[in-house]
Amino acid sequence: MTEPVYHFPPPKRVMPPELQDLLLEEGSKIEGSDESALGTGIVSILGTARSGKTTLAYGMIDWIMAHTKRPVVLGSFPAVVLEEGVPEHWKGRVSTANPDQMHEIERGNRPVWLLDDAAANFSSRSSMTKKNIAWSKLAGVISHLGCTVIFTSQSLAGVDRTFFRFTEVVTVVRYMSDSGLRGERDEWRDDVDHAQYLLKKIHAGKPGGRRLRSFYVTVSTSPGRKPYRIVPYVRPHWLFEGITDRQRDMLSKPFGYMEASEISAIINGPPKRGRGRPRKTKEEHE
Amino acid sequence: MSNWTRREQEYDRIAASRLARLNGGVPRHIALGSRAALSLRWKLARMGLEGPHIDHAVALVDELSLAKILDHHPIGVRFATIPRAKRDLEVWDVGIN
Repeated sequence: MTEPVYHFPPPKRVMPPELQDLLLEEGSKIEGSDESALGTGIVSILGTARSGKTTLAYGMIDWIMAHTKRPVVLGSFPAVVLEEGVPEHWKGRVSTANPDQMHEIERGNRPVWLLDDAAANFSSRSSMTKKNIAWSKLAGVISHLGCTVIFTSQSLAGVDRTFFRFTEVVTVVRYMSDSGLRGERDEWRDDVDHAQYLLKKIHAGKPGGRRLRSFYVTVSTSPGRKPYRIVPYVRPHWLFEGITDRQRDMLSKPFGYMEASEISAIINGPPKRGRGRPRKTKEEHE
Repeated sequence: MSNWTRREQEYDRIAASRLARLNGGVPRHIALGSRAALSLRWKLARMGLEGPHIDHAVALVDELSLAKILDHHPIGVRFATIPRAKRDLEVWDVGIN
């Protein structure tokens, strides 16, 4: 199946009301709804590897560029991707920073943060590390900071649960493998399972590829919102035809362009400090 | 939600999905009926009996068998056997074709 394509700027209707609610500036009119936008919250994009999570996130950023004045911070992106990878019409609006600086960067400008493969930075296995504890405190006040966080992940089970505790969350579900689904968090498994059922049903008889990329499903628990909404995936023209292969690769796999030490710092934490003053030996005491 | 409840729901979904495909698939009286319904059909065919009153008698046996089987099934499965028009999935209109 050939997905519809847009040339920048994308029409406002490309994003469903649930996503417009969090991506627009607070109080803006939502197309397709009588309500005004909340302007803050968490958009979690979920799907198996190569299911099109990151390209969908770039589509959201493109939409933000066209319909808002919000700055975008690409969390932990290597500088080289920012210099050489991003398209011309993003330049000046995007920057990069560490997520633990969320309360400092673009303060007052209500930025949108993209945390690609959040399980690397906010792993549920590291829930009691200093970084994740700090994030859990920060997550409680992101609505005060006016931030919207978009994160991508292959499983919500891999991401620290702080992400889902405090603020408005809209989950965007792309294709998920059966093994991924079996390991999903209990709280989300039924929703993700139903979204997979809808994806398979809407792709039935259509050549959407193994990864069912032509549609995605939004899951929203807010009163007044549609609990599940099937949305066609609309491709930005520039992302597939308007950039070089190297740029496309940089945007598709930004972590691959990090220095080994930077990836090590994400996986193992920052380098440990030396032990300081050497301990005295027994003989020295005497 | 307990594992047992989840498993029940999964079986419900599987059963409902199979029942929903019966139109044009396995005849309902074979999939969900009883041996009596088959015996009666053969008997009536051998005797060469035809007509609307015969069809009604066969339908009655089919429905009794079906109701007997569904007595032991959860409400989800029983609900799935209600004939109804299928709704198309609603898709958000993005304004681009």
